Amino acid sequence: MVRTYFLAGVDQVAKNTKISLCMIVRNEEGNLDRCLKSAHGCVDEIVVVDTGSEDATPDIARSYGALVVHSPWRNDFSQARNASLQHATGDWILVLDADEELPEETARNLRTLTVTAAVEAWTFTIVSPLSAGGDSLKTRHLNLRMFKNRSTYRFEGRIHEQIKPAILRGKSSEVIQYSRLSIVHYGYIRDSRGYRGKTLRNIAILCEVCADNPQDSFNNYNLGVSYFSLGDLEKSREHYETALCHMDPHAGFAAALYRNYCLCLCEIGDYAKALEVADKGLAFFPDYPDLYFLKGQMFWDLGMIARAKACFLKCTRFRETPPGYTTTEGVTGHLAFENLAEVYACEENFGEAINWATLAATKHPSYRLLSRLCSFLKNQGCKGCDIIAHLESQFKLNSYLGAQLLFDIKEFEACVTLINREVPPAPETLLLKAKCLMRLGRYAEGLKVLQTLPSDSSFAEEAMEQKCIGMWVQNPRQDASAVISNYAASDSPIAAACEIINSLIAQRPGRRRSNEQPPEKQQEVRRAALEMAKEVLCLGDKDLALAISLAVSNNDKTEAFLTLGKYVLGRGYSLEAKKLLEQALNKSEATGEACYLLGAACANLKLHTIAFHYFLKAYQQLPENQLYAASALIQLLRQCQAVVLSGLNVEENNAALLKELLKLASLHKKVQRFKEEAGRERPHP
Amino acid sequence: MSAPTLSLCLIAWNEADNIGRCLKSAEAFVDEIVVVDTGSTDCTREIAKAMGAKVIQVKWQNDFSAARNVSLENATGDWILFLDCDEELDAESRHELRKAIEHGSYEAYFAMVRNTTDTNIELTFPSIRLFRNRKSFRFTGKIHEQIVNSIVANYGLQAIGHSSITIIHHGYNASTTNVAAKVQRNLEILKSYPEEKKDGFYFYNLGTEYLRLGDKKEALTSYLKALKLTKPTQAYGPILVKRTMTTLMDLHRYRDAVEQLRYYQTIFKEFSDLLLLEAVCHLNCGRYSEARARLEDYLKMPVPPAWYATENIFQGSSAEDLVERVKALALDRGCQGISVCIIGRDEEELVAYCIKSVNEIAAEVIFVDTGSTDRTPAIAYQLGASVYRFPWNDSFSEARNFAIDKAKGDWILVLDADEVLPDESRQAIVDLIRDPDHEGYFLKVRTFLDRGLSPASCYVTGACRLFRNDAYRYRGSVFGDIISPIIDAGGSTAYTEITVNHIHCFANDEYIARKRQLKIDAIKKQLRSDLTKLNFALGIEYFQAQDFISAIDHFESVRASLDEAHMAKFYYFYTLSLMKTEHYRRLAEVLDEAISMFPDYTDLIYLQAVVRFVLGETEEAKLLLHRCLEMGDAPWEKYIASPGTGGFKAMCSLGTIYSQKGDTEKALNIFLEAAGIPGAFEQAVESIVFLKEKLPVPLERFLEVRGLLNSRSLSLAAKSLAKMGRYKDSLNYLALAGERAASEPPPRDFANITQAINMLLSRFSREVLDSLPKDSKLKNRLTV
Repeated sequence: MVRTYFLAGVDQVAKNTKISLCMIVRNEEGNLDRCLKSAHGCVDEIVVVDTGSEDATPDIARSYGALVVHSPWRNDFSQARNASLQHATGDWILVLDADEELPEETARNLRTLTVTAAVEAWTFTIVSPLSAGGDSLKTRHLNLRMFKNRSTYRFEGRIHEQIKPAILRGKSSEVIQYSRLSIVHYGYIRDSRGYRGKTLRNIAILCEVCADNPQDSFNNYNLGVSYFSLGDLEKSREHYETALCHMDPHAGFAAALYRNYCLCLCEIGDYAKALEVADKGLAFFPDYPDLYFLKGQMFWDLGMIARAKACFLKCTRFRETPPGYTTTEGVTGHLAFENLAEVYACEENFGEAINWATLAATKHPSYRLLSRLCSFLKNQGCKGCDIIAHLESQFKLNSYLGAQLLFDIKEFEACVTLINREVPPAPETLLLKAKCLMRLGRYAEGLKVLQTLPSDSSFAEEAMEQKCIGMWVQNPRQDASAVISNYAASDSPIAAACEIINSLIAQRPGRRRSNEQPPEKQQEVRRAALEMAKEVLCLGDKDLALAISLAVSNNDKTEAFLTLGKYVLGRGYSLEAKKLLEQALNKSEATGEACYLLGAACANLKLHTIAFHYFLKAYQQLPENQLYAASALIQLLRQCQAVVLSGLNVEENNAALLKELLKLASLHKKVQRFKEEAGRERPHP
Repeated sequence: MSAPTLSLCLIAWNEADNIGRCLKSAEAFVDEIVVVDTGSTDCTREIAKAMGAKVIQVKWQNDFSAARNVSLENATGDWILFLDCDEELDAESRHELRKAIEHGSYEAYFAMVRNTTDTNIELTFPSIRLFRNRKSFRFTGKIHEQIVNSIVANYGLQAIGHSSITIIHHGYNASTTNVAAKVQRNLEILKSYPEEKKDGFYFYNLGTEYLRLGDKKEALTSYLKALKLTKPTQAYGPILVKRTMTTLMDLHRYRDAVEQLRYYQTIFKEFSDLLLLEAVCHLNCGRYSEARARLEDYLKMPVPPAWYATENIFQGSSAEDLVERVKALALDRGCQGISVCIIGRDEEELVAYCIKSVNEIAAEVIFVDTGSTDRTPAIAYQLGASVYRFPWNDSFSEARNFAIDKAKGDWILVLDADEVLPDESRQAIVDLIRDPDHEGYFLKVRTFLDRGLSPASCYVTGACRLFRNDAYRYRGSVFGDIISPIIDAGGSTAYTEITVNHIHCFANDEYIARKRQLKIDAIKKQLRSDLTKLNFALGIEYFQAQDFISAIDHFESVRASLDEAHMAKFYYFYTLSLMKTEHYRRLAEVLDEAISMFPDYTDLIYLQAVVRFVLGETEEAKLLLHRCLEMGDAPWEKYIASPGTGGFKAMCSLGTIYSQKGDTEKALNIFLEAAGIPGAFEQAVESIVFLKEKLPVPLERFLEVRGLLNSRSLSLAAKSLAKMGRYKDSLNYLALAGERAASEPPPRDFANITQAINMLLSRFSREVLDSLPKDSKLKNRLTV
């Protein structure tokens, strides 16, 4: 037990043991400060080898008292690293990269590592968030970062340099121990500055190295990782395959190779091979939860729910991933729990879905998870008040969050009850209450609530909008011009939109004409008007919603349906969109776009047969449109998959059916990926 | 004296899935639980502690005995029971535990370990699991550790008693255990053994690990080594013998297995499973009567003593099931005199089917190998054939005569290695030669053109394949003639309805092409002297290879010089070649001429009808089709005949004509009638689907009323609709077919469904690919 060393050794920490932090850097002004700030307090010396910065990097280093050594870059990481070791005078060396940070706990405990005589080097858990923001997925892996300062300990390898071989030469593996401490690494955040450039630079070096030794397993593995992170899956696959062919199963990166290769194959959609790789990996590393997790995801993609469930359950049996494995944080915890919740929901076992979603949200709370939990509760038949009781018994929620959750699942009564318990209510909560009341048809009460909102709050504009809506949809409709003119910032797009709509009700033109405004402003006004039309539609006033849409659609009736349908579909109101789009199609010749949108609405509503019908129609209208063709193909594939799955339900191990399923799912994934990429390039509503 | 106490000892690593079940089965019957954990990263330790176990953590040293012995060191009971985490005590026998330790005078007891796997195979074998807690009793062996050695060394074998305690082992159940991981671990340990420690038990265990890995060849090698190092008295002897035999059988080495089984039956006289295995060998070789006899012997044997690992079930079937299966196939073999002569070369894909189909009636099978480079002779040998090598000299006759020279039976049955005798033909042959009227018999050879073995795609020829073993030898070199030798010697021949199936279509395409080239080479060499015969034979080969243009060239070059005896055959292949190349006008003339020569040859009239239809002469076509139906299929004794030309094929064509003329009702009636005829179903359903819009009720209702609604017809409908580009309808029928198939009793036919899916996808993808612009990313994705 490594921990006991610390506890026993804390008092004996020799003050005269020196730690040197050694770094190599180039153009790291965006990162270096964060790194040194976290580390300078727990080391005695900082050595920074600069390989040619053109920015403020050396100045930042010096401001922390670092010794800055300039050394030209020679496409060789080990050489640069060893240059930094050359200048270190401490008893121990700590190695960090500029895009890393020591968590407070690590900084506090670092010195205790120097006490244990028998240990020559320590490994750390490197935690890498994959995107900015707290809700990011994080991977973890183990890396050797601290070792005794001995002249024989030098890095090897031009890239992905290693010091382990030098330390282990002539010694048993026991001299390297796991410190149980972590280092945060920000370098895997794809959109981070310089990410692409760094990866390309690494690939260039790796390719050079590979030219000398094309079958080197470790280099090929690293190339696979680099190409994967650039999104070049086919190249990544090639290198992983080569790496696997020539790998020693006892190599340090063996387990990670199985995981990453499997991940790459899943992305490509080659499920047959991915399953094979996962199983091969599990033969050597049966306690590697990530491989079970990946299998679970694959079975989920394939629609084999029972098998997916077994895999995710297996993940939950592990306390945590053993520290030696590269892992995604949460595969034995919240990620597995969340997937289990979805699996059970898919089987319509909402009781279990609720249990697992609750567990997941307890471990790793997020709005998304809570709102999934609420929808499971609702599916289980819980009333609004039961839902809130469940949430409150499990989580500490502020009442706005709770109210918003209830609003999303259309539990308006319960939402109002919840808000009424809060004294004094915050303005955003009041706004939500007004919305609820209006959804319940209690317009007068809603408007009264809105009156109590202070006019100087940051919600004034939204309050004005809601007030207008409340007045318009009443029977008889009321003129809201007083409300609009009372609103101070009357040049906002929302105010302009309100004016246009109000002119429809009051049957007289507003003060300004929107078409006198610049085009980008017109767009904003149009969007604001459509958003209000959507709200009005949710309140059941279809006539007004359409009138608004008509006003912003060149007065073309068919287009009014289409425009509004498209807008509400984009906002996630599929059922409403479906009705509007059906009417748009009734009104005129079917256009490709209308059919496509209707298909998309039906697909959202899980009406797959109808969705295929409309996608096919869209495609037949415009056969050269890739998006329509892809959507039709995806629906076709998913329904064929469903047929094969119904066969597998009665004959679980029918090899021909399994093969067919893998084939269909693989094609499905390919087309799906095309569609996602196309969607990213040219965002569709 | 107080009652003796019992300690349960386990070792565990990441057994969270299993350990609870194990402890639960035993906790009420033991006084203490000791779990030695070798480094679990899951909740194994927590579960064990929660169930009251004493948990000791040790570092894993790649040594099972070391870990087990730690558990013994920590046990305080008077007796030790040891289990694995993936085992549990059988609820019915666990009360025997107390009885054994309270009343027994033994040092240790055998328990029965029953293995369950997901393939329903159960295997039970005895294992010492209960023994006194003595310092001298310790495990030995880094893997497959055993306690027996230390007990026997101190107290002798007689100190070990038998008990009826049963332990259920779930360890190799793939759905609950990561089998590959376990095997990998075990193999690593086994490979670390020093040479001098590799005894019989070591090789037995090594073989078993390879078997679990699916490597049967390596497994057999290890088992054979183990057999050499094992004495029959050793406890694992019987199970080793049995595993070796089943491995031989898995490798299709039936002849070796039978020889060895007979030997071991003399050593382990009470081990009844060996008889069962022998019966299965005979069954798998097609020797049904032999199998029945062994099974009857087996069922008469007393239950063997407990230390034999008996199963009573083989590959999911009990002996009673097997008797039932064999009963229908075993013949009353009054006649022992048939020598089956087969010649062949590189036929590994089909030769087993061939030999298995005749073994039941053959007194001997003579296989003459004309130069295989694959496993053909080995397969033939293991199935019981006498195998001879005969260097290929481009003469089928000489090779066949060589085989006949070796034959000792009263009758000769000649087959090619890609031919099989259907079940019903076997009895017919036996009956026929019991009281023969002739010296030689023509059998009906059906050549199938697709793997569905559908009568719609086969043709029938007659061939003299069964004759008395007299001095008859084949004459002529390529297609050797046995009839004239019989006639010349004053004998007579006759036609029979006995069929032989020619199934070369089951081989792969490359193989078929290679075979064809060999045959063409032989023809070219042998017929150099007779140009007419040569070109005619080559024409037929080109026809078979679907090179119709070359076929027509060759046929036309011999048309004037061919003698009359070959004319019917000539017209059959020539007219079909013209049809395939769409030479309709010329074909119509040739057919007129051919029909005047052979007015009873239905195939020609049917073809004439099709031509007339294509040429727009519908009325004429109708008349001809009605004539076909009146005539029925052509006599196969006389002609090469395609089944259905005087039946369902003519009906479907007639139906198509009616539907084109708008007479839907008449057309439907014809199609429905055709659907009832074997082999015509597919075409009939497709025709009905084509008329979908004209049906009085929805298609599925129509099919239901006519009793045709099943997954097969629905998926055929989906397939036809996909072909017609009606994707939405196709998808709907596909979904219906899927539902239907799932509710039908097994064996279910999903092949039609996957075929329909593939048709639907390929049609739609092709359409999409054609319609997308050249630089389309989606297009690139789909074509890569």
